[in-house]
Amino acid sequence: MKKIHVALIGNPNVGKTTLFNRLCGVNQKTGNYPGVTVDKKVGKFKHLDFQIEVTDLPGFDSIYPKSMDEELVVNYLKNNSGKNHIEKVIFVADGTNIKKNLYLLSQVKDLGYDIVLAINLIDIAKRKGIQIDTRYLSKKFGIHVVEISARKGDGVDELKSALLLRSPESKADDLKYLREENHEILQSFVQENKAQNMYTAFLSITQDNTLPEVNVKKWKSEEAILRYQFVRKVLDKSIRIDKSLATDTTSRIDSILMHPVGGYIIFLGVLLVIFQSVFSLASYPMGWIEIFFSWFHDSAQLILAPGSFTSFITEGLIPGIEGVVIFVPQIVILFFFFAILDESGYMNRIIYLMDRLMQKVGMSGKSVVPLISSFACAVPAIMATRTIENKRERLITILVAPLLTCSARLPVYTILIGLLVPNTMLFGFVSIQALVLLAMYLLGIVTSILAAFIFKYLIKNEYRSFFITEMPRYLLPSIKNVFFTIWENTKAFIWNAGKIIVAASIILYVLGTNGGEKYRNTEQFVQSKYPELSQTELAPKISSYELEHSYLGMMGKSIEPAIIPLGYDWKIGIALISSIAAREVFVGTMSIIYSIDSEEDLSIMQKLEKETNSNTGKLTFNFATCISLLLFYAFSLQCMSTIAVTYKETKSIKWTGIQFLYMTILAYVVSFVAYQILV
Amino acid sequence: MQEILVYILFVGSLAYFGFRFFSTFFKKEKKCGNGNCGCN
Amino acid sequence: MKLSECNTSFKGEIKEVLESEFDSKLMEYGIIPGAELVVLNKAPFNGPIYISIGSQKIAIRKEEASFITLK
Repeated sequence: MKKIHVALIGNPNVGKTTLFNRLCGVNQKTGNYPGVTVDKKVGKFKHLDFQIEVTDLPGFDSIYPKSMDEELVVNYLKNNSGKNHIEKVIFVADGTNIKKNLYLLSQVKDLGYDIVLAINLIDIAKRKGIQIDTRYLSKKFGIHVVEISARKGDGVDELKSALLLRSPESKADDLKYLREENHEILQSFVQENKAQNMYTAFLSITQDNTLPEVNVKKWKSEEAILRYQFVRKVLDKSIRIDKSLATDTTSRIDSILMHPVGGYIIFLGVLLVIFQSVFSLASYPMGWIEIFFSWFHDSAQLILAPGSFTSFITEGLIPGIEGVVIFVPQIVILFFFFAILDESGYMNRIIYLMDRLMQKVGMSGKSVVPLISSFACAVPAIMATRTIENKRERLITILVAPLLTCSARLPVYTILIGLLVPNTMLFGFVSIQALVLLAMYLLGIVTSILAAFIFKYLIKNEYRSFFITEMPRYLLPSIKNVFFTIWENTKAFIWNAGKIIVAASIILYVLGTNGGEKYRNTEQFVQSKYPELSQTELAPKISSYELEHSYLGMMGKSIEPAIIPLGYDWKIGIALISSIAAREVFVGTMSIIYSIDSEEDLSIMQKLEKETNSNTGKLTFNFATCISLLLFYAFSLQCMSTIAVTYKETKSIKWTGIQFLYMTILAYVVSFVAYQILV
Repeated sequence: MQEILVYILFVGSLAYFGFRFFSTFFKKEKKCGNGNCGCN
Repeated sequence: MKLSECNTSFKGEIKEVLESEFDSKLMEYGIIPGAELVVLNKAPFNGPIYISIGSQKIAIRKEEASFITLK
């Protein structure tokens, strides 16, 4: 079977992802955490005797990249060689607004690609009275042209067949991007440097300044003007619009959603609906997951032969996995809303409305999308900052994103808030616990704004801030795309967080059940210390002595002097150390520590409530300590994945270090002050 | 027997964290340009 | 008159795109002399300007809009 490698490219918001899903179905893979179409996706399908491999590249507007996201695509297209090189390109265009697409198309064509133009949304275009002469386009550009509706599946088979055809001969490639007087300069440059073709030579001159005598800016703006002239000429002859059919729903919706007052109220309402759903709707499946895992835990204990591996499974692994799975409902709901906002085109309106406000704190309107995703997880959020053009705005967004309350903090907050305030209702219907939780979310928001404001003054702006964005027309989201967004993000979350948590719980369990000499002689020591106690009374004393002298206990003890001022003891110290892997490990650690420690079968909340601090003799989880811990977890950067992704995205040890340090210092200082005032 | 299983897992987990750390901060990125590394 | 000074629902033709670091960027979005545009909306607090140019709709910041002059 012959293989063909095809790239799927086009401007943003033309329905590229829908087409990709339509072509490849579930046969697709994504590298790493996807934001919403941030990474390279690869899929494949069969057509006739051919195996066609498709690479879906992020949408881009121009061959002159203005954000990292675009740079990735442009570099990919400019360096097309090696064993995976692209043989064909599917260029997806928006049938309702084809002018801008044709501009980019002519640039990609000049790079020497063999292109099939897929004019998408043709159903909507026809309804608007737009008629496109595809034969004329085909002749003018020297490419095959297919009209499709990726949403409905119309024309997709034609597109597949067109991929197998040879491109029609195009007329002698006249340079439609350079004035005649400069042709000679370009030609001699091509010969001297053995450039692939004229346009790569042109880009080398205009992008990398390889010919200092050339006025690069002039060449670039001439390119824009000449190309638009060409595109306009082609459009005049190939497109007919029947004005009587054209109705502009988008403008009408815009006048409501972008209203200077109403727009903000609607945006706030949308946010409220999202958060309300994340918390109240998700609590039902979360309860079921809890029930399932306690059943799982009990039956594992019954079935497996007793021994250290079994107790590792029941006390280490199962609580660890539960800690990951319990978030799935919230993540699913959050990404459901994101997918809808993004697909419908509303996300760009939010960007527009928020740009000015975000600029006041050194960010861009485009920061809003990553910041909202931060409420789910900072990792996809930081990856999604790639769409921000300005370096400083992007850096500030990366630095403050982890301050927002991600879903990994939620179980930590839930436990601590449960210990802090009783589960009673205010006025009969407002849960006090929910109010405290809301306060923690607000705290994250306020701190991130303040931090951004401070960074704005600390970081110099090297480049002029620049903001230009296209507003797509409103569309009903496709169920398939929404499903894929949810599926990919949830899968990535479970897999990535899961690996870390499982590994961390294995290490914790082993460190907690092994120790030095004192640990091994526990029984003798405890028996000689309390000779009057019976065997059953001795058991809890033995296990707590064991934990204290295990390797884990020794680690907790060693950092105890540093955390006593915050109101913690060595057991909380262990939880802090293990949370460096990921915050949610806190809950797992707590349950591991207290399961190892006690013989009674109590829920983790009951165990924590009874726990006394070995230094003060008072309850460990008193009011001041709970508050101090809450604040610590709100501010500190206890997440390996975030640190790793910050490094990957900034490529700078300096900024990765600054992010870790400022958050850790902030967490320590604030918890210290809070505890000292409250105690 | 059960002991050994736990220790194997323990060493595996340590190795996993070591690998994560190493690959994030020390591994040289492959130079782009040969078309094989895509856009990552 | 500069685009940044226009009121909502202003209709006009672009006279010139003044030289700047991003002029070629603007041109790529179809903001070229002779193109007709309509100001659709202006975000509050001196926020971005929402224009329709040809068949597409674009938002740009006021700072950038001040480099576009209209007939």
